Amino acid sequence: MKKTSNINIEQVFDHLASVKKVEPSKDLYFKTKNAIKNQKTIPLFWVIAAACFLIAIVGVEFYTFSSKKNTFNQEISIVFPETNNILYHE
Amino acid sequence: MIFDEIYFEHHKMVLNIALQYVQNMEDAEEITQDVFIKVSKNIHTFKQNSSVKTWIYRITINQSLDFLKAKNSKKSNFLSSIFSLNDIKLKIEPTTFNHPGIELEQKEAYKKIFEAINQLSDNQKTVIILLKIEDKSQSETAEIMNLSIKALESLFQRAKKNLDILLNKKDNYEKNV
Repeated sequence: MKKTSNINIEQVFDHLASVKKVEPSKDLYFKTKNAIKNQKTIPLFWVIAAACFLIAIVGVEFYTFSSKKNTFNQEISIVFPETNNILYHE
Repeated sequence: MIFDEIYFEHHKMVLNIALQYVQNMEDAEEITQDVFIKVSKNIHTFKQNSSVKTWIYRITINQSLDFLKAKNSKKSNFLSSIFSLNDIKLKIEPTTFNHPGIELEQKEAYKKIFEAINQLSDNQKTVIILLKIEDKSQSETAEIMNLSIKALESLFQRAKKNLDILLNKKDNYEKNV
């Protein structure tokens, strides 16, 4: 029984040895070259994207801060009108 | 060493090894691309402790095994999210069998053999592929796998035994081969 099983596994190995080698397609080289090229450009793209995002955030923050400051000043001047501390009838 | 030189010298070998792991051309080409991306990245840091060929063999084997693991973990995550199968261990095997090195009329018989090989552990699978499909010598295989000849022999015996068990479980195997 065991002998039959061993013969089978040897037959399996004979079959595996007859698996034919496959020729790669010609465009695989160009695909690989493109993949390598894309690998190098992606980080640069993300660096630029991240920098733009940061600049946009800082710009928006600066704009909202300055506009808030203006409205705050206007509100204060309504509540407390400014005086120039000059006596008119000196 | 120039990348193109390395590519044209080894691309056929890389594709064919990847093909024995994934058994379809699309995945094998994807692995080949990934292997040469790694080669291009590390070509300048490659220390000549081993030959370039052995180095590329190792990258190809690791890349193929990682590819299968990634593919199966995606599949198992998807299935477990649907059926809550967290504790069920899914079999690691390629999804499609479309090996271009096998003739159409023998496809079913070979599919069964490769299904059994796919169930072996990573090292056992690799030893069968290198010794029996790629027809590498024991010393070459031992160098690629970073094992002693003795360790390789014992690994091969275990792989052979397990493959025998797996194949004999299948009722139709003898009819088809």
